[in-house]
Amino acid sequence: MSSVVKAEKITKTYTGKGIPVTAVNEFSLEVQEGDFIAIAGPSGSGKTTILNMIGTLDNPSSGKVFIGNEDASTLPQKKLAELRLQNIGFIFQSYNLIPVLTCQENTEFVLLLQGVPAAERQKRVNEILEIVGLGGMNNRFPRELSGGQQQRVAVARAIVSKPKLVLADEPTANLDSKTGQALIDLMLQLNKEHNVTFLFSTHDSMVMDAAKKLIRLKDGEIEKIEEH
Amino acid sequence: MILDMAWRNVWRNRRRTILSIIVIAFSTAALLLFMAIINGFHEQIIESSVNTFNGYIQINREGFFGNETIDGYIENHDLITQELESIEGVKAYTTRVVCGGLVSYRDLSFGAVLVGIDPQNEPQVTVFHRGISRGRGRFLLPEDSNKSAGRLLKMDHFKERKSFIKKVQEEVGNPIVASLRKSFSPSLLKRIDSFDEFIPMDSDLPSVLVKEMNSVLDKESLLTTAQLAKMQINSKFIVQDINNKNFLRANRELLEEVYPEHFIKIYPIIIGSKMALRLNADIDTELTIVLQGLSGSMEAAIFKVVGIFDVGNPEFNGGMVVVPEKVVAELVGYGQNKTSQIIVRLDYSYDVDEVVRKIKDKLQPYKTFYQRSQDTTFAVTQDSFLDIASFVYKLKFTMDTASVHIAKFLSAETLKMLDEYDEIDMPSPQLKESLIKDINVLLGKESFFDDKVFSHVRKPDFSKKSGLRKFNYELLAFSYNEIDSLESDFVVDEQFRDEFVESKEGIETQENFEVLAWKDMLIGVIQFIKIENIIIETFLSAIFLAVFIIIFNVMTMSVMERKKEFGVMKAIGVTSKRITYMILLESFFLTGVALIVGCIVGLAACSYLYFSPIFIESFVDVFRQGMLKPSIIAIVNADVLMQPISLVIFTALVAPLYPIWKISRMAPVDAIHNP
Repeated sequence: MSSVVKAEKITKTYTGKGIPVTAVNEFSLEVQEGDFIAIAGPSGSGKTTILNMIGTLDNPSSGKVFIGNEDASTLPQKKLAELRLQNIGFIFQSYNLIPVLTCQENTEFVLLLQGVPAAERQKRVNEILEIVGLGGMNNRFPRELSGGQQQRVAVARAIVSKPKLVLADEPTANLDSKTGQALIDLMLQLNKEHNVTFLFSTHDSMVMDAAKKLIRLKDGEIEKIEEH
Repeated sequence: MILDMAWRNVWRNRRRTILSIIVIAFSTAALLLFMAIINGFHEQIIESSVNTFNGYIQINREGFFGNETIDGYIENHDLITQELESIEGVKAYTTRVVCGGLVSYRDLSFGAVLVGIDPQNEPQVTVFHRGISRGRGRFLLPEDSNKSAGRLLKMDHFKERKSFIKKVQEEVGNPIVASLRKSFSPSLLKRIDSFDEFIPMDSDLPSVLVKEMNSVLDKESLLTTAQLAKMQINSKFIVQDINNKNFLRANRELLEEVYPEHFIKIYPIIIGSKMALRLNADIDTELTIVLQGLSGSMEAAIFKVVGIFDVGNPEFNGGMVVVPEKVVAELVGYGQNKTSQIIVRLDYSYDVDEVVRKIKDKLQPYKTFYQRSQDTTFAVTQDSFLDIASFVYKLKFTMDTASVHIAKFLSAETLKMLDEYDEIDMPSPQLKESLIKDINVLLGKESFFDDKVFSHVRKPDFSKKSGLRKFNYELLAFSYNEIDSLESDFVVDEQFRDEFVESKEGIETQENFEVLAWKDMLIGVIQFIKIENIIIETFLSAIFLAVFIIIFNVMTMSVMERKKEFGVMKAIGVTSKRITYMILLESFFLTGVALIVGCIVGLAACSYLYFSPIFIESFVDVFRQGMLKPSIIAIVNADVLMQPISLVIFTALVAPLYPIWKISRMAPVDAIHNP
C-alpha cells in the first residue's frame, strides 16, 4: 500500500486577542491507500483544523503535509487548487452543494474542472449517482432533496473523480441516526468495493465504530489510536 | 457550465435582480433619449445652417470665408468643377457670386450681401429655396439668368471722342446710336458722317457734340431717381471731353428710350422677410442696388422683387438678397470664368472630412502651381525647349506666365508627377509621356508632338500654320509678355493674335484655394456643441455613478452572501480566475438584460419623438433665432447608441471588481467556516 497523505508534526497556532492558542500540536499521520480513518474528539479538540491542513485548505503554523510526494507547504494557491482538484474529495458537515446546479451538475462539476470529456462525464456521473442511491434524481436541485440525499450528492461529488483521498468533516452531524448510518454504510461500501480512502473527523459513535482506525484527540494532541 | 451557473446566479434573488434591471434599464433609456434629443438639436442646427445655405463643403479663394470681397474670386472655376465630377461622394455642386451692395427703395437704403446663385443648380445643393414657402412669391428660375440687360453702347464708348464719333458714324443699326442720330442736328450728323480718323478733327466738333449731347441729356428722366443722380459714382462715367454731366444717366436714358420695356430691367430678385419689412417692400417692388465692380467702378441696377424668403436665420432674412448669378457676375465684371465660391453637396453616406481631403488632393497640383507663379524669377525662353528635361525643369521652377499657362492645360496626373519630380534625375518616362499627351491636347489635338520632335523646336517654323507654331508663338509671347515686341521679330497672323490675347486674359495669378468643411465654417455652432458636450459629459458621469452604485451594490451583496459557496468551490479546486470570470459574467448578464430592455424602451421613445416631434409654442422665437424648428426631435445615430451602451458595459466591468478582489483574497477555509 502506498502513502496517500502524510502529515509530519503539524501544528496550528491561532493568535486571538494577543494570546496564542494552539489548536493542533505536532500531529503526525500517514494515510495509506484504502484506509478508513476517523479522527474523534470533543468540540475544539482540533479535528476540523487537522482535516483542513491535510486538505491544504489551511496552512500549518509548523510541520509539513505531503500529498503523495508533494510538499503542500511550498506550493502557491493556484497549484494547491490544482492539487486538491486532482487528489482530494471533500465532504462537508453541511453538504455545501452549489445551489444553482442540479445533482448531476454538482457531481459533474469536478470532472468538468478536470477537463474530462462530456460523454465520459455523463457515464461516470450516472454510475456514481446509482452507487449513492440517487439514480433518476439527476435533474433535481439541492433544494428539492432531503438532507440525507444532499449529503449523498456531496459524497458522489467527492468520489466521482476517483480522488486519492476523501476528507469528510463530520459528515453525519446534520443527519438523523438512520440516515447517518445509511451514509456510513455507503462510505464503507465505497471503501470496500471501490477502495476509496476516507479520513473523517467526527464525534458520532457510529462513525467511530465503523472506522478501521480511530484517532482520539484531546486539546489538539493525539490521546489514543485505536485499530479495529 | 460556468456560463449556466452565472446566469442562474443572476436569478437567485429574483426581486433584487428585477429591481436592478429596471433601474439600469431606465437610466439607459433616459440617457439614450437625452442624447438623441441633444443630437436632434445638433442635426437641426447643422441642417438649418449647412443645408440651408452654407453647404457641406465650400471651395473659396484662400481668406474669402469671413471676408467676402469681390477681389476674392476663383478664376477658371470650370477646371475645379471638372475635377469635382470625378470625386466620389460629391453629389452636386453649384457656384455663387457673393458681394456687398447697397439696396435702396424710395428713401431707404441698407447694406446687404448680394448673393448670385445658379437657379438651376442651387436647389440641388441647398434647401434655400424652401425658405420661399414660409415667405411669399417664387424662387428664382433658370430662365431668370437670361434676362440680363445688354449694354448696347458701353460706357467706354464715351471716354474718348474719336471712338464715340466713329461709333455714331458706323453703328447705325445700334438702337442707341439710332436714337442719338435722331436727336442730333442734321449739321452735326453730317460732320460726324464725314469724319475721317486719319484727318485731324475740326477743332469745334467736340464742343458742338458736347452741346448737342447736353440737350439730349437734359430731358427729364423716366428712370433715374434723384438719389441715383446724386451718387458720386456717376463721375466715373463722365466723358471728359464731352460733358461733365452724368453719363450713367445719359446712357440709361438713351437705352430706355430705345428699349423702354427691356432696359429698365428688372432683374428678378428675392429678399429676406426682414429686409422686406425694413424696406417696406413687397412682391413686385422695384429696388435699386448699387455695388462696386471689380475694376473699382460703381454699378447700379434695378431689381424687381419676385419672392420673399424666410429661412429662420435673422441674419439671412435681414441682410441677404439673392439674384441670378449671371446678373451679379456681369455687374461686378466677373464675366464667365470667375466666381466667388463653389458649394458642394455630399452623399449622406460620405464623411465630409474624407471628401474634403479628396478635393484638396485633386486641387493640390493647381494650388502648387499657382503658388509658384507668385515667386517667379526666371522666364521660359526658347532655350528651355531644347530637351524635355530642361523643359520639365523650367515648367517646374520657372513660374512665369508661360509656365503657368501651360500648367493650366496639364492634367492633374501630370501636375502631380511634375510636383514630385526631383529635378536631379531625368524625368520619368511616365512624366514625359503624360506631359507630351497634355501638350498635344493643348496644341489642338494634333499628336505630332512627341519626344523626338521635341528637340527640334529650336527654330519655330512660322511658315506653317501648325499647332507647333502656334504653341511656340504662345509660349514666346507669354514669356516676353508684350505682343508688340514679338511682332517685330515674328510674323503673326490675326487669328493667332486674337487667340493669344484672349487666352492671356484668362491668365491671372491665382491665389490659393481653401476647401472648407461645414465644421470649419460654423465655428460658433461647433463651440456651442462643445459647451453642450460638457453638459452631456456631466450628465453621463451622473448616470455612470448611479449605474455603478447599483451594480456595485447588487454584485457585492450577491457575492458576499455566497462566500461559503465560493469557499467550497475553491476547496474542490476551482481557481480564483474561474471565479472572477463567473462573477464578471453575472455582472454582464445583469447589465446585458437591463441594456436590452433599456435600449428597446429608449429607442421606442426616440422613434416616437422622431416621428412626432413635440412642438413648443412658447419658445418659438428663441428657437427661430437659433435657426431651429421650435420642436423637440430625437435623432439616433451610431454615436448616440454607442455612448450609453459602452458606458453601461464599462460599468458592468468595473463595478464587480471590489467583490472579486475580496473573494480572490479569501482563504477557502475562512470562507467555509466563517461565512
